[in-house]
Amino acid sequence: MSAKEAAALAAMLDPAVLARVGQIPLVARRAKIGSVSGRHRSPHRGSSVEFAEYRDYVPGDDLRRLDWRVYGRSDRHFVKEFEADTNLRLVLVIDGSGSMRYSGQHGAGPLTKYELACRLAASIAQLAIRQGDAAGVTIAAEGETVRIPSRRRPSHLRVLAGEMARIEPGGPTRLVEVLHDVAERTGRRALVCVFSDLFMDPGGLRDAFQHLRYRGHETSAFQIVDRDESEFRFEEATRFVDPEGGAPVLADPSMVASRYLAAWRRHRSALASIALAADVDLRETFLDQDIASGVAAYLLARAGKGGRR
Amino acid sequence: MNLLQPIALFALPLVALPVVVHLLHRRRHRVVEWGAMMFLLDGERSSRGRQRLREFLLLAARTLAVLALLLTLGRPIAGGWAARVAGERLDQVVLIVDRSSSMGEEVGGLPETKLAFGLRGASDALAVASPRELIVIDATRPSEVLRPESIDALSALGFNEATSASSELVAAFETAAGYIEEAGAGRAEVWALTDAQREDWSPEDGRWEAVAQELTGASGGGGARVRLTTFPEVAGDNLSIRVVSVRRESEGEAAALVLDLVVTRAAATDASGDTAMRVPVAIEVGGARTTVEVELTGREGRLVGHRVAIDPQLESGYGAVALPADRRAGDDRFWFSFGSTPVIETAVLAQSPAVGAVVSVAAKSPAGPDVIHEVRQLASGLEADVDLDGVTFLAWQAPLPEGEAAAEVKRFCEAGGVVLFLPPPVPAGGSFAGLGWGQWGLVAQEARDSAVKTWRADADLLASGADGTPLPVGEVTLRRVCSIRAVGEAPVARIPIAGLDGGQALMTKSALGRGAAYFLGTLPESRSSDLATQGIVFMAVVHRALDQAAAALGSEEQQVASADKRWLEERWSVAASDRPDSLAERGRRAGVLTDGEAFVALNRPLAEDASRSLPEEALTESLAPLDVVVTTTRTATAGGSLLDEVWRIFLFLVLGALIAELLLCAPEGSAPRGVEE
Repeated sequence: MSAKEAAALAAMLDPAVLARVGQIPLVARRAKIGSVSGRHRSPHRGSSVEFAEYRDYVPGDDLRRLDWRVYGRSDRHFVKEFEADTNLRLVLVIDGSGSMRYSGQHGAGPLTKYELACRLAASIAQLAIRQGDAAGVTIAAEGETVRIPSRRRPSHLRVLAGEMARIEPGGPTRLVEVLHDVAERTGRRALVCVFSDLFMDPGGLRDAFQHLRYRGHETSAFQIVDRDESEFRFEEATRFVDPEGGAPVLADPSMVASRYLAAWRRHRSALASIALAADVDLRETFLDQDIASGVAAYLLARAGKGGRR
Repeated sequence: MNLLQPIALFALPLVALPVVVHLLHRRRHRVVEWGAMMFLLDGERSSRGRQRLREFLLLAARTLAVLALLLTLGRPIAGGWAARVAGERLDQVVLIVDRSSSMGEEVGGLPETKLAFGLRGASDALAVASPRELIVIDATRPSEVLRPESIDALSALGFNEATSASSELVAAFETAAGYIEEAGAGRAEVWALTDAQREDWSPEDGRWEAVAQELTGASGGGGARVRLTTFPEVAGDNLSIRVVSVRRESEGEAAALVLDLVVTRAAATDASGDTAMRVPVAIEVGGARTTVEVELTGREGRLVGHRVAIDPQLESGYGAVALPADRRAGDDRFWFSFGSTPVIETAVLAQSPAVGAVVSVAAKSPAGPDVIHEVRQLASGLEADVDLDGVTFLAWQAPLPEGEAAAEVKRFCEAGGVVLFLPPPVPAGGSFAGLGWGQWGLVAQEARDSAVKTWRADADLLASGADGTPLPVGEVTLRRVCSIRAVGEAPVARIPIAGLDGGQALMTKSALGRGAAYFLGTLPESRSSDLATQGIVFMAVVHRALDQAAAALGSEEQQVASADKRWLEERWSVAASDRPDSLAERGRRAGVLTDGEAFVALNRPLAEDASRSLPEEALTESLAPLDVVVTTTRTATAGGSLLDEVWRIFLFLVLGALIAELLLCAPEGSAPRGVEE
């Protein structure tokens, strides 16, 4: 734990975020399998105070769970089951491709998309750890996949922040590959939060999301874009250089704008339908958006929806 | 294509401007690191072809706009171009220039006269058409053909200033047609600059038909094209001045000129709609200048009997009346001259001295104080040497003239002179103007005192007096009468003036040109009649003949400016003129000529002040079936060139190119397609 990591964490965490969203729990929509007892429902029966069901006693059941009162009244053996509460395993997947370097041409702010992704991820990780869940980070960076396993320790946050700060976004996107990898490697049911601009082939993305879902993970995706990208507000002739290594394009914005926007809308609707099919909570986040309200909106949308087994 | 101002072509490299700007623009772009390449590539790939095309069209439209603008500035012309393409070149251009006084009016909106403006246009047109031969005919002197090197050379000699004469356009066209026919085959065009005044064009003239026919056969049967540039507009505020009469009166030591003058306005009202108007008129006589105001009501204002005191020593002289300058300078000044006493000369040729004496006495008896009558006796029997120079009235009591003498008398009559033929003692054969002498016959005794039964009392020599009192013709006693024969088919009108009982003619008139020949069938001597003793009728006959001839021949003092050769005679020199240095145009310029003794004032004809323009249809009708192109110039801005300038087309081209540019520049998809939400 170095001073560098502490500084990175301080830069990433805004006290205002915590002040605003600290009281809102991070809720998983579906049951999670955790290692310790937590605030999330587990698919297993456990020892929480919440009654779940009666079932017939089968040999091997713990006799302590036998409901003696029912046995006394009906002379039959029933086992009384309670819900199991477990902790959440949060996996934050951050896209570290070149396109995440964009910080806006129209004075949207000092943040790049990657930095916003990191701040969002850090805020959510902090919340999770505060409520006893485990948080880990996977960054799809250029040439390497950084994996920080999930831990519940509060000090783990610094490790995460340090890693996020260390990575310089660049190169072509490897998000799909990394998502498949996450789906395979994450053993137990987890909440996977993806931070990316999702500028990639929707087909590959669909497969990755489906894979995650198949593996029982719950996925949220933060699509981080700038308004330049969604509205294409350019006037003069511009040479567009691909940060992911493609050929540059010299274009007169007035000539290509309508086609660009049409392509943009097509992609957006394709993502929306993929998210619906793969049960992904897709949120469009703009670079000029306030982090606190972004996180708050996310949490509030989830609160009260969780708990299906 | 031809350009009137080819200097504009030096700016042609500017056409490359849009391309240069485009290239600079391409170099001057910002660079953006762009993540969302997939959408950009998607848009760019599918629109690359269209974009290239659009870019190309945009460049083309911009270049075209610049090019068309440059060509517009170069004033392009279609006519010459079309001719060049057809491989045809004009062989001849005959330019007829109406230099009449009215062409000296300024064109609306320009400080340039119609004549100068038209000539400038013609010069431009010639520069393009570049015919092999240029002929210029001055319509004020239609018989002469000019072959200038260029119009500008003519203008340098003052050709672009209007004269004071009137134009004879039909004669000018006649000369042109004759010249074209003589020159033979080749493409010829007749260009004419005129304000198409009715009097100058004289559409009723029978010669138009012949001219049109002749021109139709020209250009190797293709017909010569006629291009007319007309200036029908007349300045409504134009004022003209004219002296109606001037005479010198002396009373004791003092002398004065008595002037009658008239100021005419082209329109009945002035700009403010007011009919009344006061105009200062300057009168200049012998270096002194006085000003008098003339009040106009409606179109006209007259000043009658205005007296201007002059030096009593000044027996003869000249002067001018002048108006303030307006848009037509040529009619703002009117010259006049005056002499002490004009001389009217009568020539008498009489075989019987008694008759000669009576005619002399009658002719010499002065009818007014300001006229001197002189009589010249012609030697009888030497008819071949008849000299009628300066003669106004001729009395001829001898066998009718023959040969040279007859021709001289005929010329005299046609110019306005009057000849009175009296029967010789022995009437011989021969005739003059369709009339000849018959035989002497005695009048019956009882009929002698009232032999004349009929005479024309309404007009002519035997007309009644001004108050209607008839001449006592019926009381004339006739003793013998010589019959008057009509000879041959009448070439001219024979008008009976007086007749005897029974229809025999006593006096017959034969009109000849502007003058006339009278045959009187008796003599003023006692054997024939009492015309000599009862002198009233004979006096009236002689003096009316004198007046009539004097009026027709014109007073020598006030003349109409014209191309008459006599003004070019050496004895005349210019005493004062609108333009004193134009020797060749002496006579056609308003001014005062002098032969050392008398002064003659020359002024524009009355018709030039009237300014009645013919409509375009009348002009083309005169020249039908020729191909006539009429360009009407009303103001300086409304064209007026003889050329078909096509700059408007190019201006529209500029406009079209700019609109195309605008459409191409409009951002694509202002109405978005394929919205998929």
